[in-house]
Amino acid sequence: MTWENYYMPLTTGEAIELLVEKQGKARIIAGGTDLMVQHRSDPLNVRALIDIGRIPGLKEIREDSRRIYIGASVTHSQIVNSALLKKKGRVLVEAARTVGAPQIRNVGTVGGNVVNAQPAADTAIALTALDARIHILSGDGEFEKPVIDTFLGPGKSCIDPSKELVTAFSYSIPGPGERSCFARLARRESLALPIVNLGLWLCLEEDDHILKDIRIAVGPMSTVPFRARETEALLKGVLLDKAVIEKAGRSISDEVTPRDSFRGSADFKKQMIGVILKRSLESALEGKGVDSDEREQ
Amino acid sequence: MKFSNLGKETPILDGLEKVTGRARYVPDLKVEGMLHGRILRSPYPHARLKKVDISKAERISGVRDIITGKKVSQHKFGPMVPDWVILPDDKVRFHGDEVAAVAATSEESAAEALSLIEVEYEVLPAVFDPELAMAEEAPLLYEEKENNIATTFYVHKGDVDKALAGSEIVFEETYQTNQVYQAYMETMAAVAAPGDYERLTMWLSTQIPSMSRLRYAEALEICAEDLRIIKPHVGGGFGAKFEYKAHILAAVLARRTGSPVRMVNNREEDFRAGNPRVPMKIWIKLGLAKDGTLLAKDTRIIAGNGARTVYAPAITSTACYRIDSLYKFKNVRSTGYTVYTNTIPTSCFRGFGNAQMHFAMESALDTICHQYNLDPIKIRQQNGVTPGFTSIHGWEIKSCALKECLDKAVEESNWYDKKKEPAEKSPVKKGIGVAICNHVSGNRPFFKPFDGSSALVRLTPEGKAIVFTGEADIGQGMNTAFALIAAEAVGLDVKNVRTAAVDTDISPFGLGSFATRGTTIGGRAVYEAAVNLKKQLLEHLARVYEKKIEQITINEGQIYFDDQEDPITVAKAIQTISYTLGGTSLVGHGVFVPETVLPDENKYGNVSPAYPFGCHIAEVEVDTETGRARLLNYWAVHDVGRVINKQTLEGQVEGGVMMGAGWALGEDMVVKEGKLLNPNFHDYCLPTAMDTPRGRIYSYFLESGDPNGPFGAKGIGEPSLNPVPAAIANAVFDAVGVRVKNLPITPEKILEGLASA
Ligand SMILES: Cc1cc2nc3c(=O)[nH]c(=O)nc-3n(C[C@H](O)[C@H](O)[C@H](O)COP(=O)(O)OP(=O)(O)OC[C@H]3O[C@@H](n4cnc5c(N)ncnc54)[C@H](O)[C@@H]3O)c2cc1C
Repeated sequence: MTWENYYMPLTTGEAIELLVEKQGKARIIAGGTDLMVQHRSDPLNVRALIDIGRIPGLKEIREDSRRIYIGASVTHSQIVNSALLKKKGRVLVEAARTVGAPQIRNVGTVGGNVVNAQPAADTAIALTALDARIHILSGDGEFEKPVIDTFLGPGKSCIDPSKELVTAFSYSIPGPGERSCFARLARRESLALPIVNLGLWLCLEEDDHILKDIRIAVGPMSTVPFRARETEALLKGVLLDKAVIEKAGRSISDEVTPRDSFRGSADFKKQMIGVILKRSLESALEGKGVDSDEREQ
Repeated sequence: MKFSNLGKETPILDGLEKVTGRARYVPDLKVEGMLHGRILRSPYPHARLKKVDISKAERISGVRDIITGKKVSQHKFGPMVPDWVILPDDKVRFHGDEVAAVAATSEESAAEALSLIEVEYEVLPAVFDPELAMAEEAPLLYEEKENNIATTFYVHKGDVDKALAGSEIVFEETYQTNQVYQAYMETMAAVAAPGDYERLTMWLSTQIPSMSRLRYAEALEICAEDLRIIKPHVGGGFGAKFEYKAHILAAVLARRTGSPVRMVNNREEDFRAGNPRVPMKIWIKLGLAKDGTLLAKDTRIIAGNGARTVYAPAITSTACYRIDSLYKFKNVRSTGYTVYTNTIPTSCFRGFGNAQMHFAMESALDTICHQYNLDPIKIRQQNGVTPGFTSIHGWEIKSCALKECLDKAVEESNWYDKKKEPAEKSPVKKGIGVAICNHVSGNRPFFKPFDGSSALVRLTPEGKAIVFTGEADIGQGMNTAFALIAAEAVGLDVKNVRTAAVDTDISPFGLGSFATRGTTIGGRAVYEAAVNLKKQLLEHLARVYEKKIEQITINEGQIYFDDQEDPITVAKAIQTISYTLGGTSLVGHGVFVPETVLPDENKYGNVSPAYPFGCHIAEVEVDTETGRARLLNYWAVHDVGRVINKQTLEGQVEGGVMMGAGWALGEDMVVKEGKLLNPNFHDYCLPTAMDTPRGRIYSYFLESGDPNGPFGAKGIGEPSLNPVPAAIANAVFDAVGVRVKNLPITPEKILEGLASA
């Protein structure tokens, strides 16, 4: 069976009305780069598709006095080219830049990436490192929660795209000493899902290398995007030097529990996640390739 | 020599229609009343067909015919070994083997019918590794083939054992090359349509229009004359597009239904049942004098044939002995087994076995140089063949700029300076590696009756020339090369010359695109036809304009008389001539049959009219923490005899290098229990534009002027790939001291090598 109707609502309100009206027999579609691939092997059982690409508010990147907001149907290309995010969300920019190829980045969206809930979805990893919140609209109203809480398992999100609409993601504007960066390894330079990927956010004490706070998000190291909390704890409050960085690399290799897969064996992934954490911390230390609000000004 | 058309960068003449999407390929064809064919493929690597029940499938509306092994003739045929049937009625032998075929009015009906065919399989023990398949206890694919060996090749010249015993350096190693996919843009495709006079027309995406016509006539048990093959634009082949089962099934369904039938592989079936590269395990033993002189070579190859024979036996024999004519060997021995396994049938892929052996030989030489402190450049110059040399197998090397290729590559890459650079302090290390290559331009034993070509060049009353050939342009730019050759030989502007699509009702018989033979053999026939046309043209000009032939010159479409200031155009003159001849076109006819011979029982005999050579130098960087190797720069120098079209030569070299780099650094058909795990472009990792060298691929062409090639030209298609995996493997070794002997060179293998160092 295939859908009978394809709707292109102009407001979030219309989109929700349609979802409610179709009683679970409609599905949100954004760029379709995941949904259409899945439909081929496992046909969707819906009567209607609701394309959210024409809703202006969902395509905005903006900030208020405290937070940065990224609309759910912002494309990866939009993120890559956003002057605001280049300054205040480098981990996200660097993650979006690695997604697929230009054609995929031009249509694929951050909302789709998160709702699709793959354990190594690149922008989902970056948003997890940023401790972002997800903003959701349903027939019952509006609510929000941490992005990380939406991931239930491989390809499983707590968000039901036949009932709920993600409207945006938000995170706090980085303050002094905050930096972020993204790293991944893949089988080739473009158009490849990651063997491992990593989003790093950290906050350094002013004028030295003592880590006030740190978040490390990695994939595919578990059934969902994974926060390496043991390694984070090890690093919190310590002076970031070469020896500590080495230790962090070993720690994360021990902490994660990846699986053997087509893209690499579990052992290989464990080893590689250590390497890219080390390199990310090193570049954070040097202030290279890393987001930092102060530096950019 | 000064040329008006050759040696330039001429964009392919059909480039515009291709980049604008107007060019029509077989899958684009829509023939009135056309049915859609689909193939049911086996989900088991080895199984007896107990029952194939089509009763439910037949009831689907739109289904016009369903064939199974029980409904078609069971006579055997095949390109090399008669182990093909149209559809089997006894058993299937690989995961993807054809079980049944459907023709329906829509693709959807055909797909639905496929899903309703009920097959009862009795799963049989299967074997996937060629070496294991040779073991006594291995299950047999064909009862009559002992130890699953399809064919054995053996050659021995000189006295290898004695030479090895007398060698100061003896080196022995085993290398493995994996199975990779050609990844042409257009998948395998055919449209077959019944026509007048009870004939059948087939539009094929093929490299061999005339040969497939012979083979398909045999398969269909009809006279070849009743089969018309048309080859429109073809979206790449790289060796895969030879005889193909789906083409035959389209023809059978078309004949049974009386309707045109379209059969186009989807990408997944093309992966699962195409004609991928022959995987090989190569044991090699080399004997050398202390100074690096090669004294003996002994090899033993076990090659994977897959579940039925396409061209793997010829590929194995090529791997066994073609490289013996790259070096001045005096003692060589080689045994090659082509072995059946329950896997995808394997076949030609750019390099034809020679590429596999180049990986082994050129890697081995590199290791020997490292171990015995010999210079990898000098050892190749010292042992490489030279002009006028006749190799141990009787191959007559006429033109050869191998030494100059090495010199040029060394100079352009700054080889010796780079070799002296100290190792990097960072975890990312640089390295540089060299490999050389030879190949053929034509291969006499490939088609037993002959190797050669013929062509027609027709000059129309409008002053345009059309080249008719049976050789197949499959995207490589051969049609443009032929137009350039004809234009140069007659004295026309290439803008007014084109090459017609192959249509066996009109075109001469042509063996097709393989063995890097198109430009050399096909091009020489075009040259002869053009020369013949020019002779006719001059005679008619002399007659009509009342001049002596010596008074006439033709250049770039202009005709000059020595007693007349202003030239006249060919267009004007030919119209005048044509009208005196009842409106005829002038037709030049050309034939080229090189003086090559079928090798005798000891494989002695010159197989090719010309031999191309080349030298590649790869520069890589290897990340010692992640194990990833990346290309930095690449220098490819080729002896092409003569540059016909610089642009397509560069295209072939850049394509060949990247195709080889993909193979060397990651491409792999991952098979588990006979099932291909990565039949798509997501998991089968071809290099992308982003994976090309950080710096550049530099290509250089040396012109040794071969006496047999048109204007001296030799081929480029396969030599551009042959040395690549070895050059990269050698560069990786230079960077980090890790020798990867089994392709591909993955990060895991490099890390493993580093860890055990
Ligand atoms: C060739 C290729 C390469 C790829 N490479 C990568 C890669 O390198 N890294 C990577 O992370 N991903 C990659 N992807 C996956 C994909 O492109 C991304 O996950 C993309 O961000 C999905 O976004 P989309 O807008 O296309 O989602 P869709 O396909 O439109 O939707 C995906 C899912 O999310 C739901 N959904 C979408 N938007 C909303 C919303 N606002 N509210 C509620 N539900 C919603 C849909 O119903 C569906 O279930 C690749 C895909 C392809 C085809």
